[in-house]
Amino acid sequence: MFFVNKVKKIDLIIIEPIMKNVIYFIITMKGICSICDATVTLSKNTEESEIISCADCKSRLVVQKIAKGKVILEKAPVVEEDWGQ
Amino acid sequence: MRKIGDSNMITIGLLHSTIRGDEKLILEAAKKRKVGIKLIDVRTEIFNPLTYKINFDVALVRSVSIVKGTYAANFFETFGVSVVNSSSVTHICEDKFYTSLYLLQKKVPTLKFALVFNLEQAVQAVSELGGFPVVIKPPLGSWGRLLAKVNDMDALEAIIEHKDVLGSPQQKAIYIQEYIKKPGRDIRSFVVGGKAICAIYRDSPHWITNTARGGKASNCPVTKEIFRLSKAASEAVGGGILAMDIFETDEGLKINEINHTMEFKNSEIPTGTSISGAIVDYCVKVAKKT
Repeated sequence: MFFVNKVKKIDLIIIEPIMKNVIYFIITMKGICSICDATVTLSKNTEESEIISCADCKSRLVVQKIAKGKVILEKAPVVEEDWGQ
Repeated sequence: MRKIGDSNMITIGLLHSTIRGDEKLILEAAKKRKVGIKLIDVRTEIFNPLTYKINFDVALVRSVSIVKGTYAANFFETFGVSVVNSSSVTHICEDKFYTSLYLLQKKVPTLKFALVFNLEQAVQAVSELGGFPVVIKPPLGSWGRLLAKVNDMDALEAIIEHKDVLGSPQQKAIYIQEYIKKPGRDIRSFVVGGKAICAIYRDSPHWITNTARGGKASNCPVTKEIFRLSKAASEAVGGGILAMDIFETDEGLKINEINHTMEFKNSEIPTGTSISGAIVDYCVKVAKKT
């Protein structure tokens, strides 16, 4: 019983957080906000030209380029007169 | 150009600028259906007819910039590529005055309207439309921008002076519509290949009900009247993938505007309909016909 509890504790304290970080790493990418330099986390299915928001400074950013796991973020273009549906 | 998918499958050339949630839904739907997608950013392409290589089966215009999307559509049509929506449909739907004319021509119920170029004509037009209030809109424009509910002569004079002094030549064309007192909402139907596949109510306490201006979407059952009106309006402008903005009036449902690069990401959940899937299926159907 003592042994089982010890294993459960190791799993909870050590293994689970590691696995969570591994899974997080697999399903996310990171970029740097071009306005405030904060790290911006993006999902792996993020596309180039997608508009996202920086969680820190709330700026609208565009995903300029994704290459070899590196993400380049720029300030999003402003809405123009002919934009719409 | 970026390609997603197997080279043996039907491939849609997705003409885009900014990638919105709508385009991401289309990408997911295409992936589920094993339909290839070539992402073509119209902002960075060189549309040179001597050098351009076309390696997709049908073009789907999803550019947020109407101007860029229209140029791209015309370019690909020149090479015999089917484009959804075609340049002729885009030409009609991007301009509210043209849309109104085509609907009128085909006797599709729509709001009363007029187009003028100066204050004197505007005053006369307001009288012909039944008096104030009226709505003034730019013939080209979207997302509920630059709409004016004009309640009296003072406001009419001010708006027309502003357009005259500040506006582009296009903005100096003054499109006037009768004002309809809506029941706190309007209806948007999503029409693919002439069939209304679903619809939403857009509720707002404001007279402008665009979701871009805060209107809230909820499911609207597609009644026979909505279906018939949507079908007729779609046929009037040339068909394709269209969103109809519909008002409930004392004389029944009427078309307010038609959108040719419809946004739908906030409508799939309330309606329980894969609008993105329907768009992909329609493009595949068009590709197979050509």
